[in-house]
Amino acid sequence: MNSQVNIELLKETAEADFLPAVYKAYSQPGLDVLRKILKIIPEVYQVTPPDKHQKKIVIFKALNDSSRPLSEATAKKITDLRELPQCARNGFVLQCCDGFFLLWVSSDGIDVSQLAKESIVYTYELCKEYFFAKDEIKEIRKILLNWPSIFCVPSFSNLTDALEDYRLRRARMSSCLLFVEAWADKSRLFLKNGPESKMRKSLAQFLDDTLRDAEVREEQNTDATHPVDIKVTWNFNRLALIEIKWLGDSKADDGHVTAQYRDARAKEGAQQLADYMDNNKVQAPIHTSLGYLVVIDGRRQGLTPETATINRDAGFFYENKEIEYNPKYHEIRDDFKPPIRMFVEPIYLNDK
Amino acid sequence: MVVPQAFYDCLAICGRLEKSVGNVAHGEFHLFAYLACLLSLYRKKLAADWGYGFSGTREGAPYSMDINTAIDYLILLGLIEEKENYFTLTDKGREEYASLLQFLTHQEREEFIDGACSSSLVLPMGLIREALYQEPELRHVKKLKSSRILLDELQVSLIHEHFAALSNAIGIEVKDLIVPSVVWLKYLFQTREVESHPDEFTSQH
Repeated sequence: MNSQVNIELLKETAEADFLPAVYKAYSQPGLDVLRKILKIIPEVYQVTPPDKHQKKIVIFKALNDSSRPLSEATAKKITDLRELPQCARNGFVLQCCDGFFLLWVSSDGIDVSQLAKESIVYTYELCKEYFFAKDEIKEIRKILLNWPSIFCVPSFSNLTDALEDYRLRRARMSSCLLFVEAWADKSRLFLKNGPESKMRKSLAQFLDDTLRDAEVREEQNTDATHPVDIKVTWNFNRLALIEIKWLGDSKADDGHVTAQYRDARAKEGAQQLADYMDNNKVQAPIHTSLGYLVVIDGRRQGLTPETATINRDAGFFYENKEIEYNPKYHEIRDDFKPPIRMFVEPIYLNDK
Repeated sequence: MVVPQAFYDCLAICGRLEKSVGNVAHGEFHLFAYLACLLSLYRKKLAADWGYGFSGTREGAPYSMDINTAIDYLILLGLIEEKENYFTLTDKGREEYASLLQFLTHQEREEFIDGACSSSLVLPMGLIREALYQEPELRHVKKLKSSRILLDELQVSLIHEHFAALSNAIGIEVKDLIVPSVVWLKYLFQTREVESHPDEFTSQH
């Protein structure tokens, strides 16, 4: 374990960061204005996620609040950011004033460097973000790679909400850099051989980024022989054990099918998790523990080893086919949450 | 016995974090109090003058018994309230905070608490937590896999070394501690990334 300072990385981080740059441009009043923008950007992204916009998003606040560097006549005055998505569908310019906002519904032709002469300006375009303050321009370094912006990372107080968000935001369309690597083909028909490590990493990373006050650790032993996929610990005495099982067909690099997992696999997972929970009672008796079974469902109808494309009906055949668990541990045990099935969409051909 | 500094810090942390993220989790009181204490070292204050101490848990998280006691007392007095494991100030708590803020000793703590809590405007909570766990003291504790007292003399000198480098890297004297706080947390988070994926990091940057 190295506790030495990595001077090069530290310097690089300080030079790349926008906070010192804003201070250099406008000193303390600049940081005061920046604080206000920093509070508003996540509020904006809650109502209109940045990746919904192909064109530039510009959010700025003038050092002098009464300053209007853009024509006020062409702006819409709003007091509630929830109005924003109805008006601005593809890029916008938002001036943050004390008590209200001025909104220009197009960012076409906007001269950001001109705005930055008396304002602090934030821009977002195609996953690239910048802060401008006078002549200072800083690109925000991506340190959380799976999010279009560091200001749109959600924050969850409980694991169930986080898992539900992962189901919709990440698993459904395989829209995670780690998760996408679990697939053997671009149409998402076959998984790679042994895709569980990618899935585990993807989910653990997501939970690590989004859960408040929780420690997320991959593959923890509940005893010497049974590792659980993910362990989440809160406040030193509450913990969740997450077991991940995947359903679908997997292929090796040479094209032969290595596994075809159906309902029975999910049921095995439920049994396994129930056993983990029993072991855990011995290993961590002072913890309040809950078990979560996550089933990543990549089942497709009628696949053969040669299948390379799929139509919608076959691709979505299992979308609503729930798994009948027997026993239903989530009904008979108080430490077992209802299993969460995450159906993963294929890319299908429109013709049937 | 309730330590007045810990009592005040909990009110101040709760007041600030509920503005930026809505509420405060139990562990976040400890986390931000520890970050605030470290920022006081950045300002060359003595760890012994902070008013209360911290230990590192075997998982590598900062923990203060005095913060724990203060939280319990604040609940008892009705100054903070808990809803599903998250805390917010009550109206009475807000009044108490405003009243305590009149004292110079408390005002002096504000820049550290503000510097620590303002990092939540820039960085997600998960990232702040993971970054701080890379801090030399907490890394050491995690390596030992046993809880121990933080900020002893030897370890403080290591932190001072870090902060001298941080101050040099920023290159300008900034009164507002949000600047060193965020830069340092980003740096710490990246040290974790560098260690986990050294090749990827080199090719990316």
